[in-house]
Amino acid sequence: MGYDCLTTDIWTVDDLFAGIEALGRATAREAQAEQLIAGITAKTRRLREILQDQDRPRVLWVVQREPLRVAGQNTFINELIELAGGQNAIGPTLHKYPPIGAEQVIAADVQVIIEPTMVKGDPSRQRDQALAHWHRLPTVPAVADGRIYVIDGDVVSRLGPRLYQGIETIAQCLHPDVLGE
Amino acid sequence: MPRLLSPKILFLRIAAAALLLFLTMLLCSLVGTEEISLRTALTGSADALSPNPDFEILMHVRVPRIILAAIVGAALAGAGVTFQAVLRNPLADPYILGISSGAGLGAMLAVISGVNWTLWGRSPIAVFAFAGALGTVWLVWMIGRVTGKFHVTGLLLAGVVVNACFSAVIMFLTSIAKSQDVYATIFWLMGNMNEEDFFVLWAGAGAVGAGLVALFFISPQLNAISFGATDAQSIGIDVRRTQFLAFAISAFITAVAVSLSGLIGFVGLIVPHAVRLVLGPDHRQLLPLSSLVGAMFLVAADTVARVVVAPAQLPVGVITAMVGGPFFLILLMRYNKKVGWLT
Repeated sequence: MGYDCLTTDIWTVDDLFAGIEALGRATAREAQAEQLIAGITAKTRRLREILQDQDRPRVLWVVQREPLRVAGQNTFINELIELAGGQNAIGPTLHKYPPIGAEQVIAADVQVIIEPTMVKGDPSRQRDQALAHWHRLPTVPAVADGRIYVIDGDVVSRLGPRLYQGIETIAQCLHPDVLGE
Repeated sequence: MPRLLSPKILFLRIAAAALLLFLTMLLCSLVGTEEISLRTALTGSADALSPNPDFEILMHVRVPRIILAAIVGAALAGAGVTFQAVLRNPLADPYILGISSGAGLGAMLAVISGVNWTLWGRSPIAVFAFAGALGTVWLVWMIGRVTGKFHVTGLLLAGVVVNACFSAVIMFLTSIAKSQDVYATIFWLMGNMNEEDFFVLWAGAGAVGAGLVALFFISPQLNAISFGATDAQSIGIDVRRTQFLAFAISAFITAVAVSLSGLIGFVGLIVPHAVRLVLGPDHRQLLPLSSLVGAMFLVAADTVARVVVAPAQLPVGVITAMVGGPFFLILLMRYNKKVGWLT
């Protein structure tokens, strides 16, 4: 029909920045695009400086509880965890979002469990369910220390201009003593 | 003339298979993605101050899962033997009368409706799947009953058609469901082992064990029925009663298995055939030995599923078909001259 069509293929944080630039060019708003990227980069850098002397807690990012599926290393979630000053508790896997067993959860020495909300609804209810579920593995440090977080899926489950908001939310779960809950 | 099966030989074979099963379970409990020290694991339970991950992994993860695999494997293989005998059809398996699609439909409904309660520690998926499986078998049985006296063909056809209808409903629901729900259901449909509470394991073991013992007591009648309903009747066997008992018990233990672990294919089809190929078709022996071998097979397959793509794991149904298929073909080529029922 003669409309210009812009396709973006966004899988990583770098892809996201490239996508924002492409969108800026296509809409003749390069300056705003640059500004958006610079803003995110500056805030991310500042966060890194704040957290540079902190330990990097081992994070289990739960995509689905039954059957248990978590974010693997080859995902943007892994990038977000690292930008937020943590590390993925799960090693390299064949799957992007591997189904894993309880044995891995125990062995991975998970310090923080994060579940993004999947549907609109009461996050505290999902948190109650998550607590009840993980209660079965009391020796996992995250469970023993009560470090199980349910966070807003909208800001972390897709890459977009709210990237920093997502990173900050995760960082608050990982380093509550530095950043406040 | 082939030697008849004496009680002593039967007992010895069952005892040998039980011992082998025990050894398989023991061995598999030592295999996993994490290396654990048996000595540390057996020093006892963990407390809050000094957690003992080896104990946790062995006693709360591996052992329950291995017991679960054994229960499900025994149930599926035992039900497979019975269905093959009563339907007189070598292609029969525990799912042939629509149990798989009934259970699948139940599971799908549980996932889509998003209900969130538990019943004796079982998730809605398990409860709905159990109800779906039993409901479907009842439906198929009622349809089959109006089709004839020893309604084997009618039952089979009813089972196939009900299966097709329910599968279509599952496909329809899949097409309108959210991707998250679809993934949860598909994973369940492929057969998935979980770490269950010991209460669930005891209940499952009790139900399946009782069912298998009951089937063992009607195995002489199953021998007669496998020659044909008319022949069996002529030697004084109440064919309808035996058929009904065999169906009801097999359907029940299959439904228990399905509600515990989803749909695990192949065990109920090939294990009975494999045992029959090697040891012959006498059901007094075929039923207990198939159950024990089915348990062994599923324990081993689940162990492979746990470790082969570590730290991730595969649905056990993938392994049973991938490993079991070629193994069965080898048996088939090696033993096919020995048994008459293939020719």
